[in-house]
Amino acid sequence: MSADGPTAAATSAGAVDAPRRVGRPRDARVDEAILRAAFDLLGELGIGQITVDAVAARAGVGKATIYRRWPTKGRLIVQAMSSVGEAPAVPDTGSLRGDLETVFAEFGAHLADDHSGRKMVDLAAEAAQDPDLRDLLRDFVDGRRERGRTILRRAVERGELPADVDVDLFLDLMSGPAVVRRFLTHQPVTPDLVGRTIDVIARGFGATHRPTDPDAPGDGCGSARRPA
Amino acid sequence: MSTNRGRPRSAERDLAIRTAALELLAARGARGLTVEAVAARAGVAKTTIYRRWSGRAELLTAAVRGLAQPVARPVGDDVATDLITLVDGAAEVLRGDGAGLIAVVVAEALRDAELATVVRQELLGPRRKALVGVVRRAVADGSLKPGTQPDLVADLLLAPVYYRAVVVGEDVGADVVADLVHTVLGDARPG
Repeated sequence: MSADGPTAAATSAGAVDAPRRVGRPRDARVDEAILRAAFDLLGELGIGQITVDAVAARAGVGKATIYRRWPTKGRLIVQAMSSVGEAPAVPDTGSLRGDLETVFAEFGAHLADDHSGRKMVDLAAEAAQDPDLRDLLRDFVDGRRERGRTILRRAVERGELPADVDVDLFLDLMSGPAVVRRFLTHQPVTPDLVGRTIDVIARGFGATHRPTDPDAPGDGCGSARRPA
Repeated sequence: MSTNRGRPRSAERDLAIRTAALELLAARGARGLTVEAVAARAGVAKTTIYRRWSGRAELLTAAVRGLAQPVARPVGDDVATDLITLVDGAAEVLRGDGAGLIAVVVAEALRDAELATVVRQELLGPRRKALVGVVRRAVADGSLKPGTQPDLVADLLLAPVYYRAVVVGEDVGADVVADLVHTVLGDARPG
């Protein structure tokens, strides 16, 4: 699992067992402790309730220490989200459609969480006036897209997608409609919509169909949408 | 200003106030938008604003209404060309500072149902309707396959543009728009 590399270090209890980094300022450990505390509190309190006070108390540092490194709460939160914690597991169902359906079921549940959804939109709005936050958010979104890139790469390896598939465009086409429905037009993101979106995009990118279950009668891209 | 004689002064003032509101939103975010700040920027008295709008929320809604761009009338020779023109118009609004401004507006709209309606019906609605119309006509004249879903196609053409500009934080260039249209149409072209 490629996800183990960078995250194993971050999840090991504290930084006690980490190799001593000669020449590196002690500050790196403080950074790590603060980001870990922020990440844990995000999970416990949610993005709407987290405060810099709470992060300072959990990390055992003063608020000033945090603000010296992250002048706004938004920057701290976004960096904690992207640098700590496990990368989400990449589904490997054996077919492009199966993988995309799995990811989008999760994505839909995530979007439906009203509170965190609003806060993410607030952060995007805040980023319009804060280029540093903008960069942090871009890194975060880019990291989240890694899962999609892996799925598409595997699909290419299986011969389901042409090797020159425009990965960014593919991912924008998958994520865009769900995000826009959720936050701009306020319509539900239904499994049916996800299924129809996958149909159009997969064929638009020249995907060859592989049934999720090789024993199931493959009757085209629509089959996998129906409950077995 | 004798040249503007035919135009009522109040319309100019309206525009100056709404423009100031949008500039403040873009530069300072939602918190920067106060009646006081708009009045100062537009060079009018606060009462001038309150005569027109009941307060900050109504002013914001009026300003956002002004963001709606005229939608180009499709030429009708070629479905891809028409769609590219329409989608590029959406991308154009988001280029430069546009995406940041829309992010601020969308965040505010999550707290203000009336503003959300304006965003949906007046900012996004007309262009989406035009896209649906182009696809419907193309299905009718056989340039696109029967069974093509005009609403889905319209969403698949607009959503990635907003998503890439506002969420991913990248400009959507004309090349991306063309790739997007050709990809989505790839499924709908008669084989």
